[in-house]
Amino acid sequence: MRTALAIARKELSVYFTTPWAYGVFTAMAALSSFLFVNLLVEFQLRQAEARATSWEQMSPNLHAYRNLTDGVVVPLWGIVIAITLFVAPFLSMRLFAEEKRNKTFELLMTAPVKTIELVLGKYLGGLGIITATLGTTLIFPLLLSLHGHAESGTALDWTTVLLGFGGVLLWGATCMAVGLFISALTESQMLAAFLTFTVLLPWMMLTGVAQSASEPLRSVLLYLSFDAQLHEMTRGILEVKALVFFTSVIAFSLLLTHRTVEARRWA
Amino acid sequence: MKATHLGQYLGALGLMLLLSSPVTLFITSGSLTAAVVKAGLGLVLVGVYLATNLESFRQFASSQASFAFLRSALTVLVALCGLVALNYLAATKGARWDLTQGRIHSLSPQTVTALESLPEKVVAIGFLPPTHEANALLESLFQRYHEQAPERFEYQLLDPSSSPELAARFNLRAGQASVVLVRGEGLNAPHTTAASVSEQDLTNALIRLTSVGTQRVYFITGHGEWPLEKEQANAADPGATLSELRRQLLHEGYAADAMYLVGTTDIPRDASLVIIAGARAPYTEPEVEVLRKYLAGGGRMLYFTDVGLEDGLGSLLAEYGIQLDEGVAADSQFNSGNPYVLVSKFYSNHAIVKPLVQRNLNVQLPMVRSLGVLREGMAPGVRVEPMVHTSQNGWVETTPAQNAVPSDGEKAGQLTLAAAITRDTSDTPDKRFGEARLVVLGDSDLLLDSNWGHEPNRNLVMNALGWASHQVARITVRPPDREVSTLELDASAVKRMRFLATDLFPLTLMGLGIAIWLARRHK
Repeated sequence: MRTALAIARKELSVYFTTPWAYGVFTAMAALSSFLFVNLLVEFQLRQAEARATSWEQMSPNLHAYRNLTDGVVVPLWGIVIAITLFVAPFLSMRLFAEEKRNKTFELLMTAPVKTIELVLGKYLGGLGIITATLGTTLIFPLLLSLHGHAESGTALDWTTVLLGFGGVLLWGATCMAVGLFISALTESQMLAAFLTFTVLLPWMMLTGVAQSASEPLRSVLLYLSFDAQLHEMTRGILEVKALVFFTSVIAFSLLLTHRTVEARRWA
Repeated sequence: MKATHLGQYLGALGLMLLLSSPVTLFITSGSLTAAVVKAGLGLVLVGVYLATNLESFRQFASSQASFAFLRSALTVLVALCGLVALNYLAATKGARWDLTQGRIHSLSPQTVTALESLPEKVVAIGFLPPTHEANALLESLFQRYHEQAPERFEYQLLDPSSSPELAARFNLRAGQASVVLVRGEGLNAPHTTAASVSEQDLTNALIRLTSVGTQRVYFITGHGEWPLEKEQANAADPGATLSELRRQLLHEGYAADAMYLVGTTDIPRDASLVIIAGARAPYTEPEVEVLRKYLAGGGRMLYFTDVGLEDGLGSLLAEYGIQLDEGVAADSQFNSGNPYVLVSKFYSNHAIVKPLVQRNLNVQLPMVRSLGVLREGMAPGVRVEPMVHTSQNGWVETTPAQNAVPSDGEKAGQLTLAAAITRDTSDTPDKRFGEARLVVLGDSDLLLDSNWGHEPNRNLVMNALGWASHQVARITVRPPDREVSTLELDASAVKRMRFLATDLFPLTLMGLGIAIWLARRHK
């Protein structure tokens, strides 16, 4: 494990000294900020409508705007999840592909490092960078808690907010695991990013497909759908099945990565 | 082109056809023939690949790498099977925890009681078009009900257009989102429809489906009581009707009708409950006698009055241990900025108010009339239980327009604002129930449409109604919601936040990155 942590540290140090990573941070911050402000404007608009009439007379679909947690933070996490789908492939693409392109992969293979340590080290490095990227979005709930008002004094339901953020992190960790596996398959970084995106996007769109399917396929597709699994978590409900599902995808991706890297030893 | 290369291309195409055939069957066309043709063609093409690349397979099979490959494939397969099994267990048996403040995604006690008291299996059918926005909400709601009572509550979601025979059976309109609850099995199984996709309506539909017969509520009219219909409202005050209360009663399975007492000698036998709400003109003696006879025979009544009203029912109330105070109940500490707008968290242990205590809900009663509890002169078997009080700083203000402080001669201390009364009628011949029930509240404004949205007050009324009509399953709090929170930003504050979030924040990150990168480069 010590070797894995050393590899992770090295990966993180490479990430944090690369302008590319900061480009990704900036893109994540700019996009999520822009959409966050739009959510705020929408929230204020709905609250003004409610003040003019009453919540009882407004559509039940708009009742989420009664509070900042449901009206702003829950949809914000939905947006961050969608942005992560685009951002994560660019962070995971270099994990193995760059080593292959720079011909350092063979060196790694001959070094006294177990494949499992190599895979875990690379993954932990990727996990660190995605956590840092997603961590920038915590600034938005903090801003809301500074400016928001509620009778009890706490404008946000922090348990829901943090559980939602946990869901976002779980999603980021899953993206990085899938990206790590695809990065191990190719030496082209752009191809790795593109393939990761191509795998994750349809996977995320399974909810839409499930809606037009009939039982029992519908239930299976909904279970396999990333966003359906995350839906409850962002609303403040912790489900064992979501934890098991994401952990399974991560574990399976790491296993595939391990076998792919190991295959280089046979070749 | 070499045959081996052509075989590889065809093999790849065949694999795609083979793997996509379930999509054809279940999602795109739904045609079994098309799916079988695709799968068959795919198999043939994969066969072509195998035949043209036989030599490569021979080489692979004889090499050391092939054993390693097979071992890897086996490991992956075993791991996959293990993970599928684990996920199946998690999906079917996995726990869930509602971590929100106030447990807003958990079923209310009312729903739990209703589910626990289901006499037989109920199937809920959600008829929604697949793209309907309420789809996920309804599924999650159904899931919670099913988890609470897996043996007695089942559900399915159907597209009305793909199940026309069921849509016709339940008289559903095209494009309409509906939830139908069916009790038992067979074509003639009783069913009911939920008014909307919410826990409130779904549970009410459950109660309605499982209750025997229809509960009928009569609103006494003819003495200036609040009207039941919006059309009967005073033009100057269109919100001053009981239409929202009536609507809620209908949703909960009650039939609600207005009733004149003049010319009658008895309350109809099908009455579960009689409500008097804000009577302004005195009842005649024969009318009072009808009510007296009704209560003495085990009847159930809710009585709401207001400050200054005189309806001639004082003697009847006195028989049930209640005297209405003359004046306005006031409280110098527990009010909403006005001593006559009382905010009360002072409840007894009565079943009607217990859920309010559990949920820490305060009722708010503006211009309420307090009640005096009598110790003697009552009818035999009467038991009075005060339910809602003011604080110890309450008093009855007899001249509210002149001063808002307690004066000499005014009743002071903890006042009673609502009371529940029972009377043992088990020995009464031809009785309706063995116990008469009466709830008295010194405010009828809380029943009006314009005030019906106040959740604690609404709960007080509906719980009283459930208790009085003996619908124990309804005595609970309506589904909770998160605490309301607001954000007050004017245009310039929004501009500042936009600048901070979309400009300064990303650029700072970028600047930080460039600085670190440059510093590292120059090391």
